[in-house]
Amino acid sequence: MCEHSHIPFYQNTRKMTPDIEPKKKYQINPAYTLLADRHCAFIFNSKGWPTFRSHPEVDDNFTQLVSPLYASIFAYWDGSKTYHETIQQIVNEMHIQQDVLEKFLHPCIHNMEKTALHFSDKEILEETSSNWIPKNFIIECDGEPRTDLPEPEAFAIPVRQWDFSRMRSRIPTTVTLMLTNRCATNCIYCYADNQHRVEQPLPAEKWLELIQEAHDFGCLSIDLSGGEVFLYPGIETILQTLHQMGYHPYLSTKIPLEEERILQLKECGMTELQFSIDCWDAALMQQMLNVPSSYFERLKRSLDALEKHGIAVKVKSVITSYNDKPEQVEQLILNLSAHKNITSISIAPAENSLYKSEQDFIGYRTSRRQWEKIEALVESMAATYREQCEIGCQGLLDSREHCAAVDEKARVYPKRTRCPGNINMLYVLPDGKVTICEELYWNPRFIIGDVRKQSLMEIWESKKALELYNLSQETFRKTSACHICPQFDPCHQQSGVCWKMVIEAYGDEYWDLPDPRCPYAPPATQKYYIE
Amino acid sequence: MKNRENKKENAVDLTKKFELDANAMNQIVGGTSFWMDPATGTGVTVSGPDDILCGDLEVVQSCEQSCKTCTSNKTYIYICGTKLKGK
Repeated sequence: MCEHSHIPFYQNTRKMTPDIEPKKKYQINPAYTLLADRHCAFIFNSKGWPTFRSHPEVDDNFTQLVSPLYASIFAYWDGSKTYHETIQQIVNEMHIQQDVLEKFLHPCIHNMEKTALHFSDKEILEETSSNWIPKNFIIECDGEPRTDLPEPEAFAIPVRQWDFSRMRSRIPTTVTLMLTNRCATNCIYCYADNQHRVEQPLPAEKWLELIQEAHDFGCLSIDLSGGEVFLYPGIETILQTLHQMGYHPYLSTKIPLEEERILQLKECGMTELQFSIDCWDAALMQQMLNVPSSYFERLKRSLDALEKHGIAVKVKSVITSYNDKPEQVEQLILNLSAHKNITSISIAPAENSLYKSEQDFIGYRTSRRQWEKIEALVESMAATYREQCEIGCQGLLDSREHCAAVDEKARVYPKRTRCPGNINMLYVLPDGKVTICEELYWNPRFIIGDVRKQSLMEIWESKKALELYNLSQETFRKTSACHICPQFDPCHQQSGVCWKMVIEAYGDEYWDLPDPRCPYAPPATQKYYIE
Repeated sequence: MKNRENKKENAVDLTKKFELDANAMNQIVGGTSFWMDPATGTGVTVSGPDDILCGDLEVVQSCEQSCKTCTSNKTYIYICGTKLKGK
C-alpha cells in the first residue's frame, strides 16, 4: 500500500482546543448546513450560499456524506446556548460521555482546514466517502442563533438502516434553470447545443412555479444558465424572485449591457456578474464571436457602466488557437485589471463540443505548448495583481491525463471530481425537459422528465432518474470493461462517470464504455483533448 | 421552526431512536472499531481487522478481511471507514 500518495489530513488531536470558551455560544458556520436523508446525512453549503466569489475562510461547493450520529451531534450547535450548556444537552439526550464527546468535537471547532474525522494515530492512505468536515465548521456565534438547521432528531435513523454507499440525496439540492439556448454571439468554440430549436419555450410563470417548488422542498441552490440569460424576456422577474427567496444565482453573459439595463438588473438584486471576454481586440473578437464591429466598443462601455454602479464582475476568458499568444493574453489582463470592480479573471482553454465536428475542434483548440506559455504568464501576472484581482488558469483537458498509462490512470481516476448530476443536481432545459447533465442537453438517454407533465420532485424520484442512477451492470455491453468491473456500483453511484467524456471519446452509440479516464478504458476514438 | 428550548422540557432519548445503547453510542463517537449485533443493536467485542480498517464511518454487512484472530461469524455490522496503513 505504500505506493499510495498521502492525503493531507488533520486527525483528532485528542486535546482541548485552546480557544474554546465554555461560556460562549458556538454554532455551525452559516456557510454550511445539514441535510437529513433516508439512510445517511449530508453537509452542504447553506441555502443561497453565493458561489460567485471564493471564500478563503470556508470550503465552497462543499458536499459530504456523514454519519447520521455525527449529524445529530452537529445539529445541536445552533448558537442558542453556551458551549457548556450544549455539551450538557448532548450528554443528557445522547448518553455520550463528556470526554468522548469533546474529543470528537474539538477538531470540528474553528478548524483552520478541512478535517478528516478518524480515530487512529495511523496515517490515512485513502479518502473514504464519508469522513470530511469542512474548514471552520463550528465557530463562535456572534449574532442570532440559527433557525434553519434540522433538529437533532431528524438524523436519528436506526443504525440498521444506515447506508453510506449511495451518494444520491433525497432531494435535488441544486437545480439549474436553463432559460434559453439562444445566444447573442456565435462563438467558434461554443460547446453548447444552440442549434436545437426550442419549439415551446417555458413561460416565465412556469419558471417561477418551479422556483417556488424548489424552494418549498428545500433546494439549497438555484442557478440560471443559457444560452444568454439576458435574452430571456422574463429574466428580471425571475431574478427578483430568486433574490427574495434567498438564492444568489450565478449569472454569466456575453451581452454588452447598456447602463439602463444594468440599473434595472441591479434593482432586481443583481450585485455580480460573470462576463466572458476572450481578448482585447475588436477584429479578433469579431472573428471569434461572429459579432458586429461595434461589439467591442459596446463591451467597453458596458464594463465602465458596471464599474460605475458597483456590480462586481468576474471575467472568464476562453483560449483558442486564435487568441493563444501570450501577448494577447497579457493585453487582455492589463486592460481588464484597470477596472476596480473586476474581482477575478479566469483563463481556460476551449473545450471540445459534442455539437461540432472533431475537425472543428482541431481547428480552434489551442496547443499544450501555447497553453504552458499562457500558464507561466498568468502565474506571473497573478502575483503582480493579487491585491486587486484573483487571476488564474483553469484545468486543461489534456491528452496526458486521458491517454496516460494504466498505472497513472489507476492512481488518478479514483480521485476524480465527483459529478453531481442525478446525485444532487438536475437541469431544466428551456422547453421543460429535465436532464442530468447540462452539456448533454436533449440527449434522450439522459432526459429524466418534463416539468410540463411532472413536478421537480416527481422527476427526481421517477423511474427513469432512479434507473439512471442504479444502472444495471448487465445492460452494459459485454465488450465494455464496465460489464464485469467489481467497482461498477461505487464508480457509478459515488464519484460518478462523466457521460459527456464517454460520448466525446467513443461516440453516443458507445455510451456504456468506461469513462476514458478509467484505467480499463480503451483508447479514445475521437480527439477531444488538447495535445 | 426550530425551538430547542422545548426539547429541554421534553427530555429526548436519542439512543432509542438510533436503536443503539449508550455503550454503542460512545464507541461510535469515540471511534473505537465497533462491531454491532444487528439483532440487539449492541456492540460486541471481537478481535477485528483494525490494522486495515478503523473508525466508525461506514456500515458494511460483512467484513472482507479474513483475519485469523477474528471471532466474528461476519454476520455483524462492522462500522468502519478509513483504510489505514498496516501496523
